[in-house]
Amino acid sequence: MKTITIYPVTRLEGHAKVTINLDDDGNVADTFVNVVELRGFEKFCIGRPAEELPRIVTSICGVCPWSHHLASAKTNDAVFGVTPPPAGIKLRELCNAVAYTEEHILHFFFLAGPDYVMGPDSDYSVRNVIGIAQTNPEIGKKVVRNRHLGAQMLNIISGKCIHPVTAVPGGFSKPLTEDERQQLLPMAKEVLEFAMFAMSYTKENVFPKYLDTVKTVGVINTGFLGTVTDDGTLDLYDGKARLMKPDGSYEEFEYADYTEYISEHIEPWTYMKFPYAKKWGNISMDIDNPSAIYRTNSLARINVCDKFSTPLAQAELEEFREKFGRPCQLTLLYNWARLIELLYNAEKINELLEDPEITSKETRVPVTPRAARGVGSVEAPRGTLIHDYETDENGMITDINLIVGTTHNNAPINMSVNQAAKTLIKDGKYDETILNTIEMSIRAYDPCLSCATHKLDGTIAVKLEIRDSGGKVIDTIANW
Amino acid sequence: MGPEWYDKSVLILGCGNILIGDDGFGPAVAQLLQSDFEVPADVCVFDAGTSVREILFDTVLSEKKPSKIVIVDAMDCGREPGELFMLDIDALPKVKIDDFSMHQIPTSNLLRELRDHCGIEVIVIGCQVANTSNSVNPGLSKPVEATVKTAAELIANEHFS
Repeated sequence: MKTITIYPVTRLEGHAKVTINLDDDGNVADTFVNVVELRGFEKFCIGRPAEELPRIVTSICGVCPWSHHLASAKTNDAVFGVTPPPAGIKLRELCNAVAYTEEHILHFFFLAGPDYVMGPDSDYSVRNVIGIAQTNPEIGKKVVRNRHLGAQMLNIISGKCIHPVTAVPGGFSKPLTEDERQQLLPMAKEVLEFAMFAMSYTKENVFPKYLDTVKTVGVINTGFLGTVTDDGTLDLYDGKARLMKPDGSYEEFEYADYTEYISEHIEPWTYMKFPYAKKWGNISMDIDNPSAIYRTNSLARINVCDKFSTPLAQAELEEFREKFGRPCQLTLLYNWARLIELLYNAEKINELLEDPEITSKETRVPVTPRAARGVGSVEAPRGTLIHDYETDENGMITDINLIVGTTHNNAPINMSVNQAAKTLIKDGKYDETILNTIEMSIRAYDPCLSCATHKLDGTIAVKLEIRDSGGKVIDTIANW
Repeated sequence: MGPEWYDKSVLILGCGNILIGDDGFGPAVAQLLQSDFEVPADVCVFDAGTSVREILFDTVLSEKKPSKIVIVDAMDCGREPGELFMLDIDALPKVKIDDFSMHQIPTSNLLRELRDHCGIEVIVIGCQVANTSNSVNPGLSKPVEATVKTAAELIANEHFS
């Protein structure tokens, strides 16, 4: 047996390591995507005041601090048994929408985008953001300008864009002034213009070139999880969970009841758990006969929702469904779905800023510690994020569970890599393009890998090892 | 127009995860510089936490760039715990690494590209960690904590002109 290992390593431990085992004929026997995640966070939180958690959780992740911040604040609302005033909720939604625009721009243009804009077969040394800056400088300027706008807007609304502190139990600690709203309005319009540009540019210039790849790479058959309002409209901040089967039928539940619908499977080769839909039977990651697997993140969200609340995103959803059906199983179209969501959030920012209630000074209600359990969720850019806390009578945490977006997608990521490997590696033949394409199928999920440790061993980027059946390395290929 | 860190000529970034023991060194130095030192008007000291690559990626594409970036970070280079050292980015492996994720501290190629393609002077100040961990365990070890003030004074002397 031969083993191929795709091993992306920076100076840090805690990355995804992809191992592809080949059989004696050189075809794929099995695959493993092993993600090391941050451990010990739950234990660290026990005994701390619940109201500290919205500030602490932002340190889990430097990429989606707003999602953790807001999920934690919502969980605190539930623990303390309060409902924030409308303006408090709308300010949270506004921050969520702005953070989404920053995130989706970042993912598409900095991470996934280079694969498409530069092409998966381009030299690895230019297939990154530097390559975009050099070959498409005008797009590069627009990208960074709009990321600046997002950071600036979050600074105006909340005072801090990276380690936010303004969402508090019972609401939002800082009302928005009319002067601040006036500063934000032109920025919001500019972000919307960029989102419209990004959508039309990629539909004309990027996606058409890769439709054949999209229709084959990483494609698996799964269910989907996302959040909707009572009438089935997509909602990224609040609502019911809608769990859709591969045939498009679905059931809905309150996130407080998530343990009745979601179980977590454990495999011996990874610390990361594998959530699955427990009512659909036992989990199986066999790509020919999967069972109880669902996906989250952008493609899942636009699959489960009936509609968007904003006109431009709704028009894009209709066009997407016309082309690809519902539910769409084409993994690489997570990126297309992400751009529709970028448009939606840009529209949502403008809508919220035009809402007269957004400048109300009533943004929070007082809370009193009590013994209770609370569950809060938001749709993080990388998927449904669930926080679940229990407190004692002093409001101290006694138990805590978090399910983050990437964890929901653990089984699907493994399946997509397996599918991609089987499609692209035949009779022992493979090259860098093939391995890069497998990476693309992982990146489509925008995986949130561990942001834990630092270790200066940065010698290898993506390394391919071929081992014989005795485990001896007989060939090594790396991408530099 | 943009966040403060794009408008200054010197950008000092304290990097790391404050939940992971000695990895909180960079943020601790940034916080000390902000609280106990007078930061000049053309200098931005920023606790970048685990978000530093987002800032640097934006910097690559930005029309307005700082002339100097100082990265302050905890590292494991097999030195004495708490030892402070300057890292030569040319000595880092010349590989194109990891665009899977934005979570980590800047990769060596990104630092080189900031210097070579963007004309930015890039300085990396490292502190040898006493231990590394995958688990949440906030708080610096004694030797690393003792180096925080030394690092802040060094940065203030050399970059707060």
